[in-house]
Amino acid sequence: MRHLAHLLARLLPRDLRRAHGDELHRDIDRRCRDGRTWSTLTDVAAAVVRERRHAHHPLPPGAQRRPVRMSTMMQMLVQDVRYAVRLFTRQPGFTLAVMLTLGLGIGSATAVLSLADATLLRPIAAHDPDRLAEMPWSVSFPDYQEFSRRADGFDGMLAFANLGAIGLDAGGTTERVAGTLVSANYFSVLGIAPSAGRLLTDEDDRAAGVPSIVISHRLWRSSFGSDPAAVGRTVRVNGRSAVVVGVAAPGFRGISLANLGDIWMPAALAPQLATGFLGNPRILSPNFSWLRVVGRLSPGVTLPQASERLAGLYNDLHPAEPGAERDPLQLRPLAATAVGGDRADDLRRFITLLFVVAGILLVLGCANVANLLLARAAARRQEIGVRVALGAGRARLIGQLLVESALLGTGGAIAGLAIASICLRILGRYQLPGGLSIASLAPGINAMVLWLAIGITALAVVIFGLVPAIVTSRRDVHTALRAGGRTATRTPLSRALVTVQVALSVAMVGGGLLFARGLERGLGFDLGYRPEHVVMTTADPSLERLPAERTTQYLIDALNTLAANGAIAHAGASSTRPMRGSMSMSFHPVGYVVSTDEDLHVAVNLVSTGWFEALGIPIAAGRAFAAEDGGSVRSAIVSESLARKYWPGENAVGKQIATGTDPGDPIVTVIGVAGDARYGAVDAEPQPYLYLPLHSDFGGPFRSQLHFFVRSTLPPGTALATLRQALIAADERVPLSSAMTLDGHVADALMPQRLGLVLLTAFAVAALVLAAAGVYAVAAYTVAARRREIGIRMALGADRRRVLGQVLRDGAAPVVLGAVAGAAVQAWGARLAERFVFGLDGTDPLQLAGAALIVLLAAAAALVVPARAAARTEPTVALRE
Amino acid sequence: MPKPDPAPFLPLTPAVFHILLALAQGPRHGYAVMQDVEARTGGIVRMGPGTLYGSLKRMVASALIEEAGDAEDDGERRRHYALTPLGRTVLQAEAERLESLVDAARARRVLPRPRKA
Repeated sequence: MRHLAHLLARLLPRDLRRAHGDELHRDIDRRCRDGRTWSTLTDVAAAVVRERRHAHHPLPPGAQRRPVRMSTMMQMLVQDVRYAVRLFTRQPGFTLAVMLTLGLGIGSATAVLSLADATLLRPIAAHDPDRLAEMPWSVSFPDYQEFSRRADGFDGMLAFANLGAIGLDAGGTTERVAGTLVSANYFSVLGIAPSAGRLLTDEDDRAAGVPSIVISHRLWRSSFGSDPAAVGRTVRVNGRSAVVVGVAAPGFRGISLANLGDIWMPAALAPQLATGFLGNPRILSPNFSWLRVVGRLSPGVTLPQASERLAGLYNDLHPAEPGAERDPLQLRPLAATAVGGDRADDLRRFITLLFVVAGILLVLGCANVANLLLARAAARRQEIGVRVALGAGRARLIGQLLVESALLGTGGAIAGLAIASICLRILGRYQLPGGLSIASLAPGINAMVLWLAIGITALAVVIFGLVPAIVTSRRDVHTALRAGGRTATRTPLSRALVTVQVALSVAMVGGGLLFARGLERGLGFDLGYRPEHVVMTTADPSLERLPAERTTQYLIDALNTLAANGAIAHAGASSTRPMRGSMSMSFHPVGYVVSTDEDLHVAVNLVSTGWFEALGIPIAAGRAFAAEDGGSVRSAIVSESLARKYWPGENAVGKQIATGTDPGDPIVTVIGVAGDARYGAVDAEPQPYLYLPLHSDFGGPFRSQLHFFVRSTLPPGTALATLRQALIAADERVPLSSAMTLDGHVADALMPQRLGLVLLTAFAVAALVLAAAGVYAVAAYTVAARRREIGIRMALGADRRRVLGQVLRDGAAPVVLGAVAGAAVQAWGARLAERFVFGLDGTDPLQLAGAALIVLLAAAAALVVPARAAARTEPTVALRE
Repeated sequence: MPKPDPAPFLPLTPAVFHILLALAQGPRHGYAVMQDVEARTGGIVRMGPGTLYGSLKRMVASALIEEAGDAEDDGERRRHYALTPLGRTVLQAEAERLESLVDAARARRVLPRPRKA
């Protein structure tokens, strides 16, 4: 201990040691001999701390050391906060305006960021997802097996295909769940671990025995009650026995966000387990390309390298015709395609657009607030001048103004978070391009977004707090103290801010107008069919694995029941429904000469008798399907555009078409020509369509779901009930779903456009309000600050009208400049949005002018009040200030 | 010679006051000062060597005390310190200041009046 004290003593400052070191050490020894070791130790330690501190901050001799500076700073902070709060409560309108403005900007930005996080930025739930790449097109099962075996540069290649709905019977009722057919190595390549039981292996590809399936953790919780005995339980999948061998890790729902799955089944057993197209026994042959392939790149292998090697392999397997052009095989990172599937680009552009819009709103909000604070600071010049004269340092002043801004910013952030939650809740009701329901993504305000919001707030605080603070505190004390301040507040910064605000508003308003017009045009498109007064219901006989003849009988029975009902005008069924994609197949009009690069595919729909009438599609020539068109298929109906394309100028009725490229595929005769219809959400032009009879024996693979349509004058509820009764009477085992009006269904499909419209309109209105408020605030404070000058001028004989004109002119200049700039921004921004809206024309001059006009009008309205206030100034009153 | 002005030094820190007091009746060496302080205050104020010599150094630097040469004490040869006139004046001024504080406390009945012996 004694030695420790001596050691510590060596830490004392050198001058002290030089002056008294020997005595010090001697006395340490003596005290320790006297038994006071511990107190000596503590005393020396304390002395070391004290003396070293004093060495840096020498005090006057004998003086008491003042308490730490910290408490002084805290005192000043508390003082500033109380002052700021007093100020805010005295001007509640201003405070509220600032906080709401900021909240609007922060809230919208946060909402969009949360949405983007949930879609674009959400990582794929796999191990090291950046090393996963997808082939750009689907391949056949034998091809996949070759790739998997021979592909160089990959640590494994998996294949999968989304099945859509499967009927799962876990002991009780049959429910519809989403399923995926996967290769045996799916889970191992992705690096997913099971949370119960095991995942699929090569063994499960064997055709013998009961097929194995893996269920998702979510499904396990909801349908199996998290029962550990679920593993090993036999269930029925699409009517066929299967055994659950394991549960996937929690949170894993597959790698395609647009098609989240709950069941994974071996792709090799597709013919047994799947229905419809993928249940075709020939699905595993080389003729069908239905598997999406994803590979894990080996370490050190780049995407282009892997693409090249895979392309080489592909060419070996499928040598190209000499001289034929082939699309280069370029692998795409899985992250890019996981969201939105085919419409990933659309989705990304949509989110980008939202980003831009939210960013604009945030900037607008900040600019507005900056302007407001600047203007108010100008009005407080006298107060500030007094404080400067009384000795307040510039740093202190800036500090106080910053505290005010920080408080406002905090209030704004809180408002922003509230607005963001509301926004997200509203957004949840919509769908994104690509059909992805926003609610299913459950975008919440997660921690990252929260921090980002705080970051944005902090930035905003710095921007709009610091700038006015610096500008104001720079003012010469004398100028500030002079009553009212005779020099005008012509800060170029203020005017620049107004210009920016107006420009942004014009862009936003213009954008809103564009969307409105585009959507209006889109909705006004002639669909080709009439969705009013039509109800629909989907029946899924394949889920019960009804044999084909039974399904046909079901169809005929249901339609007969409906036909017998007097209240129903027309009833029909089809294998696809509008707005939900179409099937296509290759075909060949007999006698048509195909040019070399022409690929003869056509969209096809199987429709029953009464379908055209139910949907209100006119038959332009020939007739619609009748009962006699059943049985072995011989008849077909073509759309007008198809007839025009392949038999221009002739009557298509009587022409023949080969339905496929195999010589055994049936040849059908055209018995009618139907009017064109737009079945897709973004179809600008109607697709050529081929209709085949649903009650014929054509194409088992095409016939999984039956969509029934009923046109009647009954109210929708009654009509749906009638339809349901007829279907149950035909066969009560068949599961029914998607009962709705066709109107509603079509409207739903146009959701993304509606979403865009709603958002942009809301934003545009907000922007308009913000800009107008900004213009008003600046003008109002300018007038207030220049009252003296105005008073003098009027006393000297200036005409009220001239004064009015002057104020208007001053205020108008930045506004006009902003409007012009805004029109330019809008034209550029419209190109981003063109993809989402029908027939958007970004450079329509009427549009650009219209938006600018609206904003100018708003700004003019905003200027009127201050201008009139200026004109009404009583010179005597103003001069007395 | 003009009287040295004690005002800048007041109020004194306890350590400085006690050291000056300890030297009021004649020069002492460091250890003796420590002992004196503890004895006088009945052990309430404890001054260790670190505190002592740190204060001593500053007091020497501001001329409140000075080195008074070496002398024998208890068989050891030790450096002694003594009050300077300034130091004595400062000590007196501080004592007067404390006295007036105590008087004020007495007037308000915070402290009992000394009973006349």
